[in-house]
Amino acid sequence: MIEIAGLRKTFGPTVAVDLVDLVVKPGEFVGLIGHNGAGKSTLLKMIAGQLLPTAGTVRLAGVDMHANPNEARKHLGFVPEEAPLWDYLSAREFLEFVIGVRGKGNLAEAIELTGLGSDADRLIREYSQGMRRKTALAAALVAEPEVIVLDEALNGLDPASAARTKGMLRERCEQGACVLFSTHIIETVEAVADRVVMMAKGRVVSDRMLADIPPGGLEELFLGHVTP
Amino acid sequence: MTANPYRLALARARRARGFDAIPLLSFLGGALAAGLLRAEVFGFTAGLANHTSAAADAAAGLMGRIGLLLGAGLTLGTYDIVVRGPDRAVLDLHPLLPGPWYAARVTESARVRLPWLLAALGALWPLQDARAIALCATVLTGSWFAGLGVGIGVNLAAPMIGLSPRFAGMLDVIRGVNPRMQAALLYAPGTALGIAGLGILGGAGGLSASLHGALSPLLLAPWAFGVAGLVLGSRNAASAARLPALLGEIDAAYAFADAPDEAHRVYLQWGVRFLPAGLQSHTLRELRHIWRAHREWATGAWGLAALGVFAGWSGQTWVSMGLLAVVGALGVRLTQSDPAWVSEALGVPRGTVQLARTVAVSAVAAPVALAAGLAACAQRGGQGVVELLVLIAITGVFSATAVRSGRAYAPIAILLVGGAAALRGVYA
Repeated sequence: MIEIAGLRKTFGPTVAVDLVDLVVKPGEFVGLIGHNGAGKSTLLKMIAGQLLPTAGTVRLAGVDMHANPNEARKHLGFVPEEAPLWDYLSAREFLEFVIGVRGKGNLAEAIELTGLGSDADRLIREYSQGMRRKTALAAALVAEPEVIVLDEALNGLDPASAARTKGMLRERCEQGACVLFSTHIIETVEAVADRVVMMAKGRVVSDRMLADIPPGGLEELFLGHVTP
Repeated sequence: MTANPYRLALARARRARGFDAIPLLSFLGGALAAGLLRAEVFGFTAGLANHTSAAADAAAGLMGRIGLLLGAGLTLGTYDIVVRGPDRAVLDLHPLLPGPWYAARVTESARVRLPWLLAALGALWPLQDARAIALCATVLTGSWFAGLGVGIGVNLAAPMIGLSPRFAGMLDVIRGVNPRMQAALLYAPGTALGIAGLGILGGAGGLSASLHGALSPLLLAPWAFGVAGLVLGSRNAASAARLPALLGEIDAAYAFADAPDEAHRVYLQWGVRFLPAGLQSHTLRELRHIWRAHREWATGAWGLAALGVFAGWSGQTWVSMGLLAVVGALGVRLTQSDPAWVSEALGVPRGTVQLARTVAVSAVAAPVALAAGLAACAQRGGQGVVELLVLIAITGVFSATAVRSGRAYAPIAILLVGGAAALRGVYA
């Protein structure tokens, strides 16, 4: 569960995130959309403990991220936009490392998550962008965290991988995890999310269940709310 | 599976990179440099066999200088490995196991900086006396260890100071245009060098006493400082879990600075206008890279400039060159932390990038050359002017070598110091 209360982030006179309140419950699959500079990445970075809030709190599975970041990270699987990996390890070795650090996880299942097959034993430096992203996703999911946060992490995957990843995330939600993902791709939100949160100028301007939005209406809603 | 996943991952990455000849080359480079410098700095060795106090003092002075060079290299370099290492982005995504992480960082820092120690030990052979070599090796290894331990300890204490409200006022006073939280990290290498330097000088004092009398416990002073630093570091290892937020704050602050132009001002930017037009934008990019990702090298260079004054005043030109060699290593860091594909994708010639990087590193190292050279001018007049010009020239040589040679820089730089100092001896 993600509990965000009164979250605010300012950089000098610039307000990047302004008094955001948001709860993502276990089993929920929430899409976060907004134009460039709307505050999505800043919000996700604060959730992942990579920026300090100016005010407000972030709790993951009941643990305050900024009071106790190390404990909170145990409950979090996070894939940032750049998907950092170690180039001189293979995907298998990298996932072994993640399992070692997190103290749990099944290596065979993690390799299966990547869909890399025998390529899992090649050095990551030889991987394409899509292969890197799949490895990063598997690393975030291998220890079965209760909270999954993805910053544009579903972009750049081929259609088959994207479908498999979405199915896998949906499965995790059904098992009780919650997913918050940001994207610019409306179709992705429509395909997998239960709920869509829109941000503009650092604020949440819309928070609706997808079922309440008529088919094809999300793009119209997006343009109406969040055009810069 | 091993109990330490960090160590296993580092070992695997190391294996994937293949055989590393740098430690061996560094040892040989040190030995060769000592041969070149034999007449200039090892003239006292005959007196060692007779246990004369003059020879003992000369050996202690020499080891103290080499030890300080080692300490400077270690304290500047540990920041890069411990605080803002290349694997930071990966580690930030996962919970930290403080004990295993700390153990792996310490051994990795030691491994990466081992060539400097091997080079120093390789330079001891002209002493010829087994006891003297053993005692000097104890002090040099201790100096290296002091730089490592104190560097790690102080650099890991810095995040807690940066985040603590108790220190906010003090950090605001000293931060200048830097983000407040960066001030603690910024001054950490200099503080570490100051503390480690006390231990190193204590060790050199113990060496002098031991060479013309009974063994002095002061020989172990640098070791004690190193152990204390590592103990301090181990106590603060858990604080590394706060580094992602701290570094995130620092990096974000550049994009949203208080003053409208603050985000765009970087150290030495004013000098870019004097460069040829084709080099200006590339040099500015390098200066921005230095100021935003490797700022401790810029502040560290000013700290080493203070040592350069003493070296220049006392005519120890090889020490001034050694200090320049330490700062020149910034060129290696810049090359390692700059994605080459950016320039390739933009079609920027590799030579232009390297030249711009050389200019930027030379500019950062310039305070060391100027401090040592001007002190030499004040002390020795016309001869000092020649030294100043040589030091300025060699600043560019070190910078260019570092930019082009990567990790092979350590043995090459040591040979350059030895060769240049020997040439100076020939022409003096």
